[in-house]
Formats: sequence, structure tokens, C-alpha cells
Amino acid sequence: MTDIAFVAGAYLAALGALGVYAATLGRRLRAARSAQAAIERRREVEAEAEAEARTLPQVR
Amino acid sequence: MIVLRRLLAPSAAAALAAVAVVVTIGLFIVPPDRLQGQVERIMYVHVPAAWIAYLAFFVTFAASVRYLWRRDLAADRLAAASAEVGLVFTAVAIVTGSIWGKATWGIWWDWDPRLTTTALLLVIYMGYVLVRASIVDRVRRARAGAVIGIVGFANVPIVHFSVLWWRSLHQPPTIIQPGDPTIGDVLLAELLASVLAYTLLFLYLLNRRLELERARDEAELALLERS
Repeated sequence: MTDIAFVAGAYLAALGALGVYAATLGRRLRAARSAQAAIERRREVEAEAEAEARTLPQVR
Repeated sequence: MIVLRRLLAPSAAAALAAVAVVVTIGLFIVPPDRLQGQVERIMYVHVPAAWIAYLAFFVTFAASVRYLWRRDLAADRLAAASAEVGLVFTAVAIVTGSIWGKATWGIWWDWDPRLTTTALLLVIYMGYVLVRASIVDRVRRARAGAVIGIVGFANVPIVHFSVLWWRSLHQPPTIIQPGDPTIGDVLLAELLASVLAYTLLFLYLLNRRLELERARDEAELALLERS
């Protein structure tokens, strides 16, 4: 292998690894945020249902 | 204050631009080394990766000390985020070093003190990430992480000074060593600029990873409140 091939290989490996890590981090962050939003939505729905149950007339 | 905040949390564009500039200069503008020729250009990515790994593990160490002292979960999140980013930079340093080794020594790997202690560093912080991933309880996870983050950092000075303490195939340090740097001015300037540029990239990745840790903690807390 020539010296240029070694240099190109090292730069490709380094920048490629850092690029892949940055992209993976972005995907993980989006997944965590959507999970957080889903929990939040569910909490709101439960709170609404609870409030509605409290306002219903009590049957004896 | 705003300048400091911008420096500590650079945008993706700023980090990318800085790395693009030093890569271009390192590959096409800086002259080749007198002894090693073109292969020496690997130094501008290998050395910054190794230094940033040291920096990342120092951040993990300091944040772990703070967590154990103050039980501050923000410090634990910083420790976890920095360890993972440091792990990526350690892997980059090992791979680029291996390619440089093949080009100059004729071998991809040798069990010499610098290479062995660096491989050990990788294993220690892989262990850190795995231990954290395997503990469900938030407080126990933070405590175990802090202990590994503090004990594991002891290997960093061993990695750095291994080339001075033992006979090694790896060259001795050129800058952080007793006496003047053993490197030409132009090469030194490009090396320091590369360290700066990759540090910006490290800070960008660290901030993104920290956001992820925060989002996970908030989701975990919300789930706990529900149950």
C-alpha cells in the first residue's frame, strides 16, 4: 500500500466513525424525545379521564 | 459569558467547519515530514483523538467526584455523556494509530506498553457503559458509574507516560513532556489547530449526548410518577 492510501484510510476511518456516531446520536435523541412526548400525552389523557370521572353524577 | 457559552456548546456547523478547515490544511497545505513523509499527516487526526479521549475521561472523573460529593444527578449525566464520547475518540485513536503503525513499523498491532494500556482504557470505559446499561435503579447506576469513572481515570496518566516509563515501540510524547516540543513550528501549529477543532467537535457531541441523557432521565421520572 502507498503512503497516500494509509493517510486516506486513517482519515476515512476517523471521520467516518465520528460521522456515524453523530448520526446515531441524533437518531437516539429523536427516539428519546418521542418516548417522552408519548408518556406526556398518556399522562394528559389519564388526567382528563380522571377529571371527567370526578364530574359524573354519583349514583347511589 | 455568551462567548464562553458558545464555545462550550458549539453548533454542528461551527464544529464541522473547524474540522473541515484543519483536515484540508493537514492533507493539502502542511508540508510532509522530513523523516516520515506523507504518512505523518495521520498525526493530525490520531493525536487530537487521543488527547480528546484524555479530556473526556477527565470530565467523567471530575463529574463523578462531584456526584459522589453532592449526589448531583446533573453531574452524573455529564459523566455518562463524556465517557461515551471519550470511548468513540479512544476507538478513533486506536484505529488511526494502527494504520499509522502499519505504515511506519510494518505491523497493525503490537503489545507494547502504550498500545496495551490504551486498549485497556477502551475496555475500562466499555465496562463503564455496560455497567450503567445493566443497572435499572437510577441511584445505584449513578453510584456504580461514579466509582468506575474515578478508578478508571487512574489509567490515563499511565497511558500517557507509558512511553517514558517503559521501553516502547511507540514514539515518546512530542509536546507534553519535559523540555521543548520536538516538532517543527508549522507542523506544531497545524497539530494544535487540529486539537482545537476536534475539541469543538467533542463539545458539540458532548452537548448532544447530554441532551439524550436528560431526555432519558425525564422519561424515566415520568414513568416512575405514573407507577
